[in-house]
Amino acid sequence: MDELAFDRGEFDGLVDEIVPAYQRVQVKKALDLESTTEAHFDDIGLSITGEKRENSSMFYTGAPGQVGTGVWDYIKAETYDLLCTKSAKYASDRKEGSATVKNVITIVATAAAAHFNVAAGVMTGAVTVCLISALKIGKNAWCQANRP
Amino acid sequence: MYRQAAQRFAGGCLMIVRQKDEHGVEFLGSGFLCHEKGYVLTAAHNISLADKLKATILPPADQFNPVTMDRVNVLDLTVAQHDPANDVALLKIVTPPPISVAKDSLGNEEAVMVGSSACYLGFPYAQSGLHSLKIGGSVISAKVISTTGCRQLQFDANVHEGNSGGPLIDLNSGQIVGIVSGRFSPTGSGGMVRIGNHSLGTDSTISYASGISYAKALLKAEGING
Repeated sequence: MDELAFDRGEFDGLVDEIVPAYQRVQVKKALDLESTTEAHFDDIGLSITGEKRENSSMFYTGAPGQVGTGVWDYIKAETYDLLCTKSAKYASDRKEGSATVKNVITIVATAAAAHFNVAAGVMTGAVTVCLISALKIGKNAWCQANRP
Repeated sequence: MYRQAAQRFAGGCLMIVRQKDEHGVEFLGSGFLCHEKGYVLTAAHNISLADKLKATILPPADQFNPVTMDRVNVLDLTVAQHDPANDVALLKIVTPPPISVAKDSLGNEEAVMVGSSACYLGFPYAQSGLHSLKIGGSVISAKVISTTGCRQLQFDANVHEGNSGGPLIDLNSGQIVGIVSGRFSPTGSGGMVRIGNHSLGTDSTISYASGISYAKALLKAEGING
């Protein structure tokens, strides 16, 4: 996984290729972020998963209850497991030559989708934002910051 | 025209619930069938991706039904597409029974004119045991863009907790033009006083529905023309 690096052009192409059209605006916000503060990427990721809502003058009229949590955290934990550890779970995915940005997004999105029993495309945008944050911040620094 | 809209769409309206424990479910909001392959539209804020979602099967609206149902039959749902920014989610019934959906049911929020008569369907207060579908009359009162950039239809109604995810129907075209999302709150979306599950200071007769084109985009991402 050491060969992974942030390449804006590569991500631009991938976003158009694998991220659902309705998620692209938010994913591109992560690409445009000049900050390397992880909390800013977290805000975008949480918005895509629906775990963070903007304050507004509108009162949502779903049944009263807490906004769901845990999806963005799960995506970050799986990304950490794949990028930052030598866990058996992803051993075959870390083989030399298979560590591409596209593969990492696909692997983590598939794992998260299976865990939550949703379609993989639902997870693709948030996983892409997570990987953008890891590579923009720098893999080693991101792994250090996200160590459990 | 209200009667025609009710006849056309009431049968496709569903309660969206989540599995609470082994024996029970918890009501989340309203939803409606939009495709014979078992696709259901709702408001994204009704659900969490972590929920085990289900849809209830309801008796026909044109018969006398118990106000509160002790037992409900449910169908398992999965999230197919999810767009929280525009407050729309596309769910899919895992094993759909034979389904009939009105043809050309999804319209265009751009085409509907301010001042048009409309109606909305949903399950207000189902979390409090009110399990009957409510059909409400209204007027499209404005077209607005939300703080998140979402095209919304403002309509003259006080939608209640549980209404979200139900269809907003333009009576002239007989088509769904929006998905109910919420109401204007003079006190903002937070910081209000609550009595039980009811939030005080959030009532108004100004309600909002996300434009149906966002739902069509989710269907398109699914390879289906809405």
